Amino acid sequence: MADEAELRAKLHTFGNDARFPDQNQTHRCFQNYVDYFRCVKAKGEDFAPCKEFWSTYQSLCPVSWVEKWDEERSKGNFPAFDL
Amino acid sequence: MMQKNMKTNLYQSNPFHLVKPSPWPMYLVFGLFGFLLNLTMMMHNITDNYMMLLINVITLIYIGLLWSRDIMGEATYLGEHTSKVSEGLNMGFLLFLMTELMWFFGMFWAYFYSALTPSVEIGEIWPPMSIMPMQATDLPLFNTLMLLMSGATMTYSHHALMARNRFNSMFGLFLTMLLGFLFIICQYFEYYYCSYTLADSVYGSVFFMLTGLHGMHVMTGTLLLCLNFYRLYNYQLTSEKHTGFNTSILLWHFLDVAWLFVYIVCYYWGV
Amino acid sequence: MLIMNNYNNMFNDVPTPWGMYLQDSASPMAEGMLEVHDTVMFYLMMMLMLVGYLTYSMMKFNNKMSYKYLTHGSLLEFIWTLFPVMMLLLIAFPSFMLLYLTDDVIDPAMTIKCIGLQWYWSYEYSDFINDNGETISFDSYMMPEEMLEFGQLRLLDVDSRVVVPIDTHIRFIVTGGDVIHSFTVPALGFKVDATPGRLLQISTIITREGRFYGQCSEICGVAHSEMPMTIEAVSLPKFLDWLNEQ
Repeated sequence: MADEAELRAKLHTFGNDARFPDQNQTHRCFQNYVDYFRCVKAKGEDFAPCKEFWSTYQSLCPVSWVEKWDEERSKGNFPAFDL
Repeated sequence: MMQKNMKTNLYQSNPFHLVKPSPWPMYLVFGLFGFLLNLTMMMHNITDNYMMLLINVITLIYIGLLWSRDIMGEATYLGEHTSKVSEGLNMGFLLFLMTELMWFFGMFWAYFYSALTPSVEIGEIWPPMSIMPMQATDLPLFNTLMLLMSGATMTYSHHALMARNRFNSMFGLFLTMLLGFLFIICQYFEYYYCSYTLADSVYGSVFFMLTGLHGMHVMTGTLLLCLNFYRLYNYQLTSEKHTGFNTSILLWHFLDVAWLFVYIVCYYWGV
Repeated sequence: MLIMNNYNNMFNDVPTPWGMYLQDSASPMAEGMLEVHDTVMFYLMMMLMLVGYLTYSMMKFNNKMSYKYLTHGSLLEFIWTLFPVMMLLLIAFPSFMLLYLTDDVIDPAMTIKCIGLQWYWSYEYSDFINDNGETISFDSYMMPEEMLEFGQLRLLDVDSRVVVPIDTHIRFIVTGGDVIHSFTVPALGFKVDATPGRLLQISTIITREGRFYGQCSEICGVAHSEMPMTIEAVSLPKFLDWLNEQ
C-alpha cells in the first residue's frame, strides 16, 4: 500500500477556489492567466507563488485559448489592463 | 337583394366595429419583409445600397399613413368608433405597450447579462478595453432634459384639449413634436460622432440595440404626434373623445420612462 | 461462493440492442442517478396504480362513484392538491440532493480537458508535461467500420481512448471548439454540454476497471453520430505506465 501511496503522490492538480464555486470555470481560467502575468510583472519570473497561477491556468485552460491569448499579448491587443 | 343588404347595414344590433376587407395589412407586411431583408443584407455586407432601405422606410410610412387615413375616416366620419370600440382600442393599445415593455425588458436583460459579469473575451471589464463611452453629462443629459420637457408639454396639451382650449392644445402638441424631433436630431449626431459601432464588441451591440430601439420608437411616436396634430387642426379630436390622442400620449410617456432607464443604465451606470 | 460471486460480476457498459434499461454504474454519481431513478419510479408506480384504480372503479361502478349533485367539496380539493404536492416533494428532494452533489468538485487528483470539435474529441492531460515541455494531448476519432477489430463496437470505439486511473478523483473540464457538443458517458453519469468559450467542470471517481462508452449528445452537424468517446479505466500503475509512453 505504501507503493500505492507513492504512485498516488505523482498525481497532483489545482484545487478549488471559493471565488468560483460553480460548474462554470471560464472566469477562473482567465483570472489565473491574468494573475500569473501580473505576478511576474510585479515580482519577477522566479517568485515562487507565481508558479501557482501558472500551473492552475496551465491545467485549466485549453491550449488553444492560451495560445490565442499569448498571441494577443505579443500583439498588444489582449483585452485586460496592466498587461 | 342589394336594397335589403343596404338596409340591414343601417340597423346594426351590436356596438362593435365589424371591419371591411382592407389591403393595408397585406401591403404593410410586404413592406416590413422588404425592410427586414434589406436591413439584414446591409448588416451582413451583402449590399451597401442605402437607397433600397430608404425606399422601404418611405413605403412603410406611406402605407401607415394610408391605413391611418382609413381609420380616421371610420372614426370621425363614419362613426364606427363607439365607446365600446374605443374601450377595445384602448385595451389593445395597453396590451401592445405590455409587449413593448417585454421587449425593453429583454434588451435590458441582455445589457445586464453582458455588463454584470463581462465575459473573458472582453477581458472581464465593462466597458471593454479601448471603448470610449459617451459622456453622460454631455448630449445625453440634454436629450434627457428635452424628453422630460416633452412629457410636460404633452400633458399641457392634453389638459388644454380637455379644457376645450384648441390653440393651447395645438401649441403644446407642437412643442412636443418639436422636442421629439430635436431629440432624434441629437441622437443622430450622437451616433454620428460616436467612437464605437454596432460591431464593436458586445458593448456596441447592446448599447445601440437599446438606444436604437428607443430611438426608433421616438421616431414612430413623433409621427403619431404629427397625425394627432393634423387631426386636432381639422377639428377631429374633441375634448370628450380623443382615443387616438390618448394612446399616443400613453406611448410618449412610456418612451419617457423607458429613456430614463436607458439613460441611467447605458450612459451613467454602464460606463 | 461469495468470493466467486464477487469476482465473476459482469457489467453492462454498452448500449444493447433494444435495451430498455440503464447501463451499470461505474461511479458514485451514476450510482446516485440509478438510485434517484428507482425512487422516482417507485412513486410513479404508486401514482399509476392509484389513478388506474380510480379510473377503473369510475368506469366499473359508474353510479356509485359519480354523484352529479357533488358540485364542490373543500376537503376533497384540499386532499387532491396536497397529495400531489407531497409526492412532488418526495421526488424533488432526492433529486436536488443528487444535483448539488454532482456539482461539487471536492479534491481532485488530476484534470482532463475534453474539447468537442467537428467531429472528434480532443483531450488534454495538462497536469503532466513531457520532456519537451509539451502537455499531453491527442485527438480521438471514431474507428471507421472497416477498421474495427474483433470485439470493438461499431460507432462507439475510437482510435485513441481516454485512459484514466480507477479510484482516483478526476476533474473533467469540458468545452467546445466550434459549435456546441455534449460530453456524455452514461456509465459514469456524465452529461455536460461542450459550449465554445465556456469551461464546465465535472468530477468523478471511477470504481472499477473497464471501458465506458458515450456519444455526443448535442446535435452538432452531419457527423454528430460519429464522434463517440471511449474512456478506459485502468489501475493506477497501469495508468502511470501509459502516461510514460506518451
